[in-house]
Amino acid sequence: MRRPLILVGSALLAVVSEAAVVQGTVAIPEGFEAEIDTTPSMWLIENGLVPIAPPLEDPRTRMVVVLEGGEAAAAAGPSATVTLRDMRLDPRVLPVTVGTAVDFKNEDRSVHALYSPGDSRFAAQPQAPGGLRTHRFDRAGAYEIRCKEVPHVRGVVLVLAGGLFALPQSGGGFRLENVPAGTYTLRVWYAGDFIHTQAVEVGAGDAPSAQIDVTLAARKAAKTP
Amino acid sequence: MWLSKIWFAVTAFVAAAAVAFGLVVASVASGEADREQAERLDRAQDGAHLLLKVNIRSWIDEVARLSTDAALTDGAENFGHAAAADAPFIHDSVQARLRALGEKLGAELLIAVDAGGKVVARVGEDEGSYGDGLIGYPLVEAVLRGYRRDDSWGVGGQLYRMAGSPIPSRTRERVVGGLIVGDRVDDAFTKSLEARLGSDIAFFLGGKVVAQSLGSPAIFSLPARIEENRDTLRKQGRTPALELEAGVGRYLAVVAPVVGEAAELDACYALIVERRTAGGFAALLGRIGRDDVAWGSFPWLPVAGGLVLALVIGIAAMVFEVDVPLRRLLDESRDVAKGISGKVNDAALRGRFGSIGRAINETIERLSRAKPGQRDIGAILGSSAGGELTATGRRGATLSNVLPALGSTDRVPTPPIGYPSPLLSQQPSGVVRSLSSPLSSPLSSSLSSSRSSSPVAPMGAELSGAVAAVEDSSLLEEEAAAEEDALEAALLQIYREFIDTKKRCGEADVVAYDRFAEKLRENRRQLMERFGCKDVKFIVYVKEGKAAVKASPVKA
Repeated sequence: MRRPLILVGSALLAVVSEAAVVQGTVAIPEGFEAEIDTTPSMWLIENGLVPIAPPLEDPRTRMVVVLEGGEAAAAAGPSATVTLRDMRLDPRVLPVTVGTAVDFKNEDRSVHALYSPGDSRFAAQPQAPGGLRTHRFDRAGAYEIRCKEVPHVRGVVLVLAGGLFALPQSGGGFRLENVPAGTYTLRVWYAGDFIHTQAVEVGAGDAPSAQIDVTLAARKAAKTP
Repeated sequence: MWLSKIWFAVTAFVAAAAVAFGLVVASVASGEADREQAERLDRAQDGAHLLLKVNIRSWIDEVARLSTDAALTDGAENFGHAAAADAPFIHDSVQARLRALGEKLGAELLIAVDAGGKVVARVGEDEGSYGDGLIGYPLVEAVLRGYRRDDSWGVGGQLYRMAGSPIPSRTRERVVGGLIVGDRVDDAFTKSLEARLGSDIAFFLGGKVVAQSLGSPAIFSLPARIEENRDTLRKQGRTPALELEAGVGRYLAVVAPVVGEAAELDACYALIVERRTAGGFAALLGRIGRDDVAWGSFPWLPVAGGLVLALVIGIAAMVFEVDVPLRRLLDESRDVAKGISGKVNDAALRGRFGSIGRAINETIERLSRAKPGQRDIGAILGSSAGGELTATGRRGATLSNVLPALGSTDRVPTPPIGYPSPLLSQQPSGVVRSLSSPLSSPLSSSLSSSRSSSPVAPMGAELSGAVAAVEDSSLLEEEAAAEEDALEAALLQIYREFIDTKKRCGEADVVAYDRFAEKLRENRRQLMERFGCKDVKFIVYVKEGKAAVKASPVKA
């Protein structure tokens, strides 16, 4: 269970023109523990020769920035794609709107059998290398995707009822286009929960875009390696 | 005989209680043994976890030592930057090195990856392919960050214990790749664990047995039991003790998940011990060993003492209630049969023996009242009382022949048969009584052939110390038959006196009349031959607190 998070967000009010582009950066403060998607082991020992490197994957790439309220309404995309590659899902988190059909492509060299524990309609089916499987998500929610063949293959399809959303890149940068003027609520979803909320006002103006800095609060990871 | 009955009831109750206690104890012991075995299994599971942890740690250290191999370092460092044409050469050289290391290490699965998680080379499963990415594996990701760690993989239906170590650059500044080594879990591995744990062990993957040391078909029923206890296994990290059966084999097993990624594929292991307590009481008896019944561990003395005490109490109750009154009744009956006593002393007899005595007395009294029936006393007593009284019966017939002679003399009234003589009963205890008085009757006349004080001759063993003397009689002219009858009557009179004296002296033994009379007859004959006397005089007296008979020849 994830602990309730106390989020302290510093919001930078942006006054932008109509249908502006909102850009921003999600900053991770010191004390922010990322969720390491790993399995338990008996031993985890430092090698004693080379310093331990940070996690190979920036935890912000598993976050979703959502802009809700105002006139923001993302149209349901016709489709989205998740690729099975190097024994993992890419992207690990996929935000979509309700009604979007998601393609799961197996570009690995081994068979996978994806399924969603919370959705009986998305049951495990063997998927050979090169195979494609499509599933439409008709209800909002966070759908965990797992593989029967390779246990560590895990991901999430975050199905949103509306609003605008973006996946931060490695480094935390994100970009939202075609944002109408108005007052919005910016929320950050991570590891099953919305961990940050702040108010954003997008006004009419000459500036084509605005910069929003999102600073997350420190948090403890539910699982440690 | 209430005491005996109560005692038997108490004994039966104690025996039933002991049996019930034994059965209950067997049941309790069986349950306790099950609990002990379950606890033993829990401890064994803890021990197995620790052993597996120590085992994989040594495996990690071995892999870490090999991960600094120069060929691996060069291969991992160059693979990511190599031109497509060079990749096969790098793969081949690294694979050759992996193969050599694998033989040295005894590992079935070896994989070398570069810093990006791409496979440089592999040995074992799918060893012809390379270049694919394994970055998604937690083990690979941790290794590429610089950690040494373990894991468990399910590959191709087999369970592997995995260990990984980063491959550092030659300058030790960064991680250029990782060495991943897998050891397949097989029966040999389970045997080695069994030797250390003292319990059988089996490994499962995806509901199938992949390795085991038990060698019993019972193991194949365990996956279904594991599935039944899946929730407990997840929540508590182990199952309760599960019972297994196959033929005559009965086992208990505790199941715990394998640590690592394979746990997601239902990989688990089971510690198994033979269940020895099944069968209840019989099995409990079968488990009794020499140590259990040794002097030091079992209270043999109290048990033996209790047994002896129970026997003594039971026998004492039977003796007190049966043997003593029966013997007393027998003695009383013999006395009646021999004419020593007129009736059975039924007041001294307890319970039903007293009833028997009273019945005998009533019979005697009825017979004594009916004179015509006197001749039949001997026959009646003889037929009802057995061997000793049979002789009395014969004697009774002889006595009956004597009675008319006694009655005709009118000198000494002979008491009715079965009642003590007034003469004898009036004699004070311990006083020597001679036969002179009774033998002044026709009886004594029949015995006496002369009156003289002759030397005293010793008698036999039973009548040791006794010396006989026979008073002379004036009735020698009697007919031989009458003389014999008179002699018999006199002997009987002496016998009565002798027995009476013995009683007064407190002597319990009884001398049979036939033997007594035969002895006296023989003694009389010898004295008469020896001293040429006509008769012998017998005197009953007390010698050293015991009744004795003295015989004296009568010459006159």
